[in-house]
Amino acid sequence: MADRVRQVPPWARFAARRLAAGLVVVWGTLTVTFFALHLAPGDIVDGLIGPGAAATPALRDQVIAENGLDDPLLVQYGRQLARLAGGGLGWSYQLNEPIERLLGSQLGPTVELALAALVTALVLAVLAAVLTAGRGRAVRGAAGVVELLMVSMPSFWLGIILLTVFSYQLHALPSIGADGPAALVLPALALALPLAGVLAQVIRQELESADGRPFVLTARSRGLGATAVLLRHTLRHALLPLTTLAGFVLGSLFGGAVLVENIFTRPGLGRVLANAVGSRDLPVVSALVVISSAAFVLINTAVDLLHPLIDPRLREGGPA
Amino acid sequence: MYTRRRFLRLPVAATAVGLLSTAVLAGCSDSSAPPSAKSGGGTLRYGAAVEPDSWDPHAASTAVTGRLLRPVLESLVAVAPDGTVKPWLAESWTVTPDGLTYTFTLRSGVTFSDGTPFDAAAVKANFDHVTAAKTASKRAAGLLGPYRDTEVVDPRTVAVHLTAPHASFLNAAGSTFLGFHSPAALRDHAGDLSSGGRFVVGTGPFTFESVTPGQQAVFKRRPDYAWAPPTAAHQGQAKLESIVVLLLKEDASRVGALTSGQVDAAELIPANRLAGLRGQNGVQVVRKAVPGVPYTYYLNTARAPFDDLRARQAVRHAVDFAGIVKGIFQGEYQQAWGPLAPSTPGADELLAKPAWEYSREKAERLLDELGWTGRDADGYRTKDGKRFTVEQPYVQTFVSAQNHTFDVGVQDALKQVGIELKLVPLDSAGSIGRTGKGDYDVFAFAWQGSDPSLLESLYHSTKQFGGGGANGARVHDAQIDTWLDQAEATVDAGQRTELYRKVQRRIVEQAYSFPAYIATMDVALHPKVSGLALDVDANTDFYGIGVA
Repeated sequence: MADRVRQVPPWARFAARRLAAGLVVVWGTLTVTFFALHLAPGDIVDGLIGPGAAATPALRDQVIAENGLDDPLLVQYGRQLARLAGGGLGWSYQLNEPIERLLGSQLGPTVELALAALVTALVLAVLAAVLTAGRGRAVRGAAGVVELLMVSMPSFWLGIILLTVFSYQLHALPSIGADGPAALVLPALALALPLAGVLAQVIRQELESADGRPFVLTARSRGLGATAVLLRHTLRHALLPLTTLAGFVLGSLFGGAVLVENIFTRPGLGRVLANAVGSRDLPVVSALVVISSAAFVLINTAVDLLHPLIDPRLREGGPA
Repeated sequence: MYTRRRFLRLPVAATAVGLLSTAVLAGCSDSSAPPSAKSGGGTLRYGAAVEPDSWDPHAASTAVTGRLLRPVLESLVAVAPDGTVKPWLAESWTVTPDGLTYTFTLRSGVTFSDGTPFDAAAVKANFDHVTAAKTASKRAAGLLGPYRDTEVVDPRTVAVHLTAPHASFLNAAGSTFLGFHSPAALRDHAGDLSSGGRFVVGTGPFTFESVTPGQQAVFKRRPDYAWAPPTAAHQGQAKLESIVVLLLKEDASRVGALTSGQVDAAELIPANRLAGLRGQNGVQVVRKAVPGVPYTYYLNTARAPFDDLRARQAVRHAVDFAGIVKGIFQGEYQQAWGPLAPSTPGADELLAKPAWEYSREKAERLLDELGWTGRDADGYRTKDGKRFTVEQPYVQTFVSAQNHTFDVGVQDALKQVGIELKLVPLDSAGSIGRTGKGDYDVFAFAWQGSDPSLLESLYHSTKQFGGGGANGARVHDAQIDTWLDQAEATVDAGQRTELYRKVQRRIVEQAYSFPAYIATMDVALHPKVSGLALDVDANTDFYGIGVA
């Protein structure tokens, strides 16, 4: 037994521990969501049926019975957990269709948008930081102002500006839909620019704090030029802290997608989530909460596993 | 009919009765790539403002479901712009004198696009689907009213039996919400209809090809279509080869897509964008006053202070509606005076003209009479040390920016005469909870529709919130109940109109509610689009449209 345990590589043991903890995180998020939606003022069944003449007592009873909304809260909660544990997402209360179908066509466009925005943000941030780090006060001041602007701009507003200029005025890019790369440019930019602002600030700070550190001096003393040191050593050093921001980045991409998908009339999970919360469509909200918190756990675990690859100091048995 | 979401953006429809939730669209998209929205070739790219909550009109609550599926699902009768009922899938019909049985003779030779013939059994299967508990119908079942059952007399004759007279049934039978799915679709895909696309099969001039939730819905022409109603501008197959409906919920996206030529036509253009759009690159605007109930303030007559007629009159005198309407809608919309917009068949023509007077002096005098003579530090009126405060709950996501501005205008006008109006933002479920309990003083919403029987849902004492109605003023008026019941029981059109006219006048006399403004449905289009007309409900009629 002891032998078998030893055969499991340390990283796998680490991953297993992290994933077990991750399950607790997903469960906790789900629980908070469940009770928060029930605690908000008003009745879930009213949110589902909607206003006015639609709401006859007969229909109300029908919807309550169909969705088991008259069971005690803990029973409903248990049923929800059991279904998700079994791998089933269930049916949407409000749309009367299986959640797998509802999300199936929407997952792809959101992942595509998020990846495009992430790559764009990283490229822009690294470029901005490398070009401005350690420069004169004027350059850095200007860069700081631009970054602050980008960080402060709501993606909603930014999206409208991009649309107005590049689509409505210049007719350069489509304003609607998710067909093809051209339709991805503007929404990805709207999502990427605020993120790039944050990342650029972090990277530049890291680059500048590295100046004068022993490893830089050593590299310079080996005769490497400033640019080579920057690209081969300092930048690598500066990128490490970025990985710890993975959770923040994921949240900002998913949160931004809610707004950006609406402005650009793109299908996607953000739009589905906004609608489901508005109508208290609990099964849909729960499904999305599980998916997004699972993504959060997986990405953070992956980042921690990759750390030793990026930073040799963290490798077991490596240089301290 | 209820309008929701962005439809609400337009002042029109607006608001609120807490319009429920968000309409996500359900949906499955086809596995094939969605056709790209290219211009020309007989394809109309149409910017719609709202996304349906369900693509099954029998289940849906959103008005847009009916609007967008009209080219696919057809009805027994067609309602002409003047409100008269014409034959369609039914050639003729008779009503028994007791008003309980409607017998329809069906047109022969009509088929669904899957090849199934349209016959009496199809009518029965559909009406039974509307009323089935499993369908949980949010709108269509209400249109059927006191439905008992449908009887297949022979393949071309069908009798609909009611348990009580329901004179508005014939008009309702013309609605897309009582349109016909193929019986094969009802049998094999009842659980999929809400998802739309190819699951939805009708007899109409277009077939429903695909839907991508949040993005678009695609319709294709049916070549063998040959049973357009007499209200249509032509016969035979549709002029358009296909329709791509783009779901552009943001006003700015819709207007921008139109000006940049990414859509050929766009609906629900906000009033403040109209002046700028007209004439730009030849853009034209087709408009029609939205029939039904204008954006209207309902005063809760079931509790103080608005249980007193004088308090209601005081508020009505205090607000300069004309000024607010002009300011917000830049002269595009008119002030409303009656409970029904003048474009509604059966609206009282007297109420197209001023029915009360804006007079702060009269408002102040009435409030003095009522004993609200004190003033507190903030300048509000008090009685026995209590401030004159009233509350208006509203649902932020459903109230358009323009209607909210309107509410603020009313709030300011009331402050001038010493009344504090608190605007209370809630979510949909929260608002429905409060209105269901009657815990509010003022509530405002609009309701699109083309039959005066709308008044029953809004003013009959049995039609309170949560009880199958939207009696916003919580009116319990025996006289109004009697007239409304008589109107539903009579099959004589003239008598019916007269009864509804009496109801409308009494509502104004009693100041149960005050209408604010009459919105118009404005559809902007490029010059290459021809034949675009708005039907009796102010909805776009796709069948007559051509694209150069």
